[in-house]
Amino acid sequence: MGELGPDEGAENTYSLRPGLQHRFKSSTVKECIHAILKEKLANVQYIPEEMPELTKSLSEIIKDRLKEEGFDRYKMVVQVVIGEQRGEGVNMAARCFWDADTDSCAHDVFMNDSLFCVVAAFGCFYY
Amino acid sequence: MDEFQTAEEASFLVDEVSSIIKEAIESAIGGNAYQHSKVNQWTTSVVEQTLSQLTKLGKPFKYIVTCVIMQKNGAGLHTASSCFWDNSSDGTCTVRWENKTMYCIVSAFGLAI
Repeated sequence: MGELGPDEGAENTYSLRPGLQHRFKSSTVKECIHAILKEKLANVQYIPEEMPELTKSLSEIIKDRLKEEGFDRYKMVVQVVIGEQRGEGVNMAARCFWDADTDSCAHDVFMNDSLFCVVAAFGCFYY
Repeated sequence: MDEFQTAEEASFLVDEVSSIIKEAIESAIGGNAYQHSKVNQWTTSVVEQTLSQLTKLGKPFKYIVTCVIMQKNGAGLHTASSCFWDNSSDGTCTVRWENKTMYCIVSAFGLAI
């Protein structure tokens, strides 16, 4: 009586929080972003007609790269901002309402003579 | 017995979020001209106000709010975002606002728990 059946004695395997190895690590993500920006924007000039495509493709590339990194059960948001360098003032801020234990963000800035690019990546654990 | 949330209570309503964002922008930078010394304070207050209003909705969501304020001087600006999430439950809303001296772009992302 009281046997659990074929899986008798099985442990719970659904984890409610990510282990240390599976956290959305800020530093790892920042390195990824930095490498991609360096590669894709090295000699790019700000050309108004090409920017929309470039911004969109950059955000897709970074998102796909982060998916490959293997952050299991993380929902991710990548935002890319590209602007022309003309001496204007720009300010960017972000605030998040989340579980500080499991969720995190990373950002990087790339600048050359004709443009600047800010990328912010956010990762939220899906319980 | 168990109370389940209705579909409306647990979804990201773009119109609602959009009006929250517009209100936050208006109250933080409504009639102001671009000032380098104040812009930091402005972005912070827009973002914090938006976030606090969103959390008051009481929905089971995690929120991410970003704000970019740029001075108008003829330069171009482009933003794009790419998300890996559940399309049926999560959503985003972006509001573009401008006055004579600056542009303000606020994006809010809601991810269901």
